[in-house]
Amino acid sequence: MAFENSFIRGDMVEVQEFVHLAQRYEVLGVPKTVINEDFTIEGSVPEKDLLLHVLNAAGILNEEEKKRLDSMH
Amino acid sequence: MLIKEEDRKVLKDLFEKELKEPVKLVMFTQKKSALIVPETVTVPCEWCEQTEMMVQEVAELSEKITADIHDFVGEAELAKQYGIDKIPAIAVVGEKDYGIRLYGIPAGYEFGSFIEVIIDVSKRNTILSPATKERLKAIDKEVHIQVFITPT
Repeated sequence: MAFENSFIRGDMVEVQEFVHLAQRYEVLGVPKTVINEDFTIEGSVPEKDLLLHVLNAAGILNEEEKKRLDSMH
Repeated sequence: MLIKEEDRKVLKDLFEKELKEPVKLVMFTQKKSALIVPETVTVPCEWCEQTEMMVQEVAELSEKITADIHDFVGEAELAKQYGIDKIPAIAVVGEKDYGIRLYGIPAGYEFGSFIEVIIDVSKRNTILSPATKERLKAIDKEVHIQVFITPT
């Protein structure tokens, strides 16, 4: 996704080497995805679900996407 | 050698087949100082040396991959330009910087992800669906995705 849009940055962080970040984001299991500090997703995420979270973080969800994201919780 | 001989052969063939455009692995590490000045003792970066070896070894497997190794402290300004705040760090760069970063050694399970990222960047394309790509175009605010992983 970082490749597709220059506003998006994508990091892979190895938790055992950066324990302070694992503590900060309360990483108990991997993978754990953190978007803009405040949105977190546990476990592996299908592409279309990750897309919804990313669009949500960017504040551009449309009505239909909003419903789909809500139904995930 | 971190990458076994048989794996090197497999990767060489894979890169031969899959890589299209050049890829630069911009890595930030902790350089060993020639002199030891007691007042400047720093916290050692446990995995920097091995990550650096890994980057060098991967770059040796294809002429389309270059390793560009920098000192995190000595080249702090450059690290800042790449938005890199911890080491070992690898930015996988193509004709431009896409904001793709790997922090920590890409070993074990993550080695596969590292190779996939190199291939995507070289192809200047990702495996995302056309619908996802189209929707991502609309984003005009910073989005920072951090995926926490372990090598096992």
